[in-house]
Amino acid sequence: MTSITRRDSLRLASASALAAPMILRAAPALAATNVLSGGFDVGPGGLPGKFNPLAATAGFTWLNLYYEPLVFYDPTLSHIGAGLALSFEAAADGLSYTFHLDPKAKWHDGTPFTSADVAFTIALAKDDKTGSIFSASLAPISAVEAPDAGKAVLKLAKPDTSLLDVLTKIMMLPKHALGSMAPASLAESAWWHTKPIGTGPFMFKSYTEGQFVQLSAFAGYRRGAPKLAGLVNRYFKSTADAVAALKAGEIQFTYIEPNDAKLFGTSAHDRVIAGASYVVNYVGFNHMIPLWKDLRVRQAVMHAIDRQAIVTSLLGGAATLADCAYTTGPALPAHLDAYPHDPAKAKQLLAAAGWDRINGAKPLPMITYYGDPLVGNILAAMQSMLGQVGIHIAPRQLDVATYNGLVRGAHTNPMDFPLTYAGAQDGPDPGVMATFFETNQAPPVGANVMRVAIPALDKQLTAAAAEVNDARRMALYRQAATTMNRELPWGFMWVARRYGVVADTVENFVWTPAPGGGGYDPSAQLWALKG
Amino acid sequence: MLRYLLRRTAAAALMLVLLSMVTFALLRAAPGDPIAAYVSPTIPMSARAIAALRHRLGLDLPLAEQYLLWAWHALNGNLGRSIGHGEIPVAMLIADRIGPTVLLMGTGILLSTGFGVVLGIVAAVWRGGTLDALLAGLGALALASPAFLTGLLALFLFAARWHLLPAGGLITPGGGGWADVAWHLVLPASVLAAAQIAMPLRYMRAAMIESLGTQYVRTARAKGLSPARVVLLHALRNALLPVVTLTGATIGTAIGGAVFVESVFDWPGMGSLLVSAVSARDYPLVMGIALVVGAFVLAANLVTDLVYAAVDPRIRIA
Repeated sequence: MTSITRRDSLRLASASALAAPMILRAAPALAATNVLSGGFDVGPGGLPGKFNPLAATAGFTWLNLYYEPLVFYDPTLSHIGAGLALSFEAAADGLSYTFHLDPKAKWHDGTPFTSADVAFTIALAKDDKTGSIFSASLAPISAVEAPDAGKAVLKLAKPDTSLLDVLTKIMMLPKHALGSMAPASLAESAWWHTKPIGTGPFMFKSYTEGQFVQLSAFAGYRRGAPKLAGLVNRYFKSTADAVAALKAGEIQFTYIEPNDAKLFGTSAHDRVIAGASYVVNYVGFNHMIPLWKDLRVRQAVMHAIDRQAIVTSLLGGAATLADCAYTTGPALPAHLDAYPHDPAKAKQLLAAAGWDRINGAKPLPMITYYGDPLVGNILAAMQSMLGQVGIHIAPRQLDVATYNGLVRGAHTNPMDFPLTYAGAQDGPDPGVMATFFETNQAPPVGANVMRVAIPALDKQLTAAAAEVNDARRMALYRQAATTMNRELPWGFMWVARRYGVVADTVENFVWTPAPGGGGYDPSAQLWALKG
Repeated sequence: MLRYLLRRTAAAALMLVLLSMVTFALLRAAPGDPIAAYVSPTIPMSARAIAALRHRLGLDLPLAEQYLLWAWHALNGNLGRSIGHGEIPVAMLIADRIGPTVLLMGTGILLSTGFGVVLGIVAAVWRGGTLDALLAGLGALALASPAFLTGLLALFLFAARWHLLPAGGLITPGGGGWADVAWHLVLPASVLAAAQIAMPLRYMRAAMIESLGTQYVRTARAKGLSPARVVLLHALRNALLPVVTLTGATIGTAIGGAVFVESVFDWPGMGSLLVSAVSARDYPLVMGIALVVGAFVLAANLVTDLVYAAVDPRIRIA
């Protein structure tokens, strides 16, 4: 036997290092062709691992590829139009909606889609026993009539002009496949992740637990057979992982963070898609405690925070300042108080309100469910700016469950969250704000977690929801927006832009950073890969 | 031997009961609950719907009843349904995830122990030299580098920049097979091994230096045996004992390391499942994972003791 020398050891190590890349390069490459892979559930609009559309609070970007709703938003989220219903009309009194269904629509097993499926789906979505999250939103529907197979009529107990917006998120479900199941057993059914059928351009193929979902083209799709053979939705724990996969050429699409948008903006191989997030970020004043009763204190917070500086320096300019809940669309009034950065005025307002007496230098926790470093920096900036005028905050970044447990809890101490930094969906339909501001929408019923109670705002939002004339409805929302701007139920901050990136090998790709990831028509049957 | 095994198994069962109680108590003490993690901030749920959901998930029962119900079902092999993963049975989720975790952890431990032992021998044989100093430095660097940081760096270099290895996952969609899995395993297993290599390396070096200084090694040299034979056949066997003990103890820390590595590399194992379960306050899933991981660690410790006895004839199990 020979002895071990240092030279032998080094030789062996060098040979291994040289051989490794060759072995690795010989490893298997991507198997499928004409299949588009993406991180469709990456980012705030995603909901990986959830397959039941009745319980989906997000993830519609992906669900919309094999299920379809009655109506879709267009990709600019400005107009609600045809989905499975080719057309629809509302009664003059706003108490019924008639939907004319696409006669070419078929389920993936070939069964025709009919009005019986519409009635079945709405009944399931209204039933609490199914675990549906839409039961409250669909409460105004009193009956669903199916005069013939191609026509469905939704009867309402009271006018609800936000109904169409809700319907963009209600995926139609097959009565012939699910009708025999008890509603209470639906939530636990394996059907959703093993053999679901929808009417969309792609059919469910398989789910590999925790890794990816595969869809295959549905040749019988009502708007023509898809150009792609299939789609893959890869699951990623973080946006950074998805970006690494995109750079490695393993996927062709993902949601990205604003900082990555700058990186990909200069890439010759990728296209960045930008859009409004429809999420307004705000400083929430807990109206259960007397600190914020005086409007001058709330105004002082607005004047103390240099929102423009934060948008420019920390958000890279990728946000629009918000002076009320809306930053775009017909619900935004022309003239609002812009609350410019003015620390001297903030100090005056606080002095006039007797801040030294009601709180003084006592630190106030400001909680948020955003856990990322960017928000950590934003809160640090706010801490410094508010500190300069005498409001001392202590930022705390919590996880979603802890945050919700605090702000929604029935027995929570209000002083646990005198201030919050949060986001709220502010569109595309302006009616979505009612759940955040109406007095009767305090938890557990709605999302008015700051317990806002402004009678004038209640009145304006209720009147707008009941107004069937669109022009008058928007005028009422503008009044509500003016009240928000004047009364400051929240300290309105900004609406950030969100980004996705798609490889330039993908053609006709439609994506927009919609709230919850969808409700818009992706026209996925037209998506194609070059070459 | 049989009595020893029975005694250890009974103790392990008691430990698992205690573990389940502590996990249950800690989960309920944490702020928020599955409903708080479930409710969307933008889509309002009616109070009636929330009550129906709470009832369906058994969250409206007294805490003691919830625990006893869970324990009774667990004894009957039913770990409940995951709240955060589409209400899929917990046992099914764990069955899907345990294989990838064992594969990753096993490969990581095998690599770290294997390389650690070899490099430890090298450092001991050439102690005080440049190679020894270099290995000591590398060991310290590995010990000081958190797995998630090394993982991100490796992901950036090997996947995103050089396109040498996949950027995460267990298999290629549309692919599969052992070669595909092995290809995906290279990066996460290497990162996990790198994070753990320092301990076996240092243990091995110290034990080997001690072993090389003993009388029987000197006798072996005096008999004219080759240096390789002296090191590998005479000194190594005794020096291996502390490394065997360490390997058993490493399994617990490897699970901890795997949590980070699985998250960074989107490895569909129990670590990443646990992370998502905790943030979703998915009580049944967290309880199920704690039970399975606890049983795994206890079993690994038992096996280590048995291996220790096999390696060292001086130890007798009674």
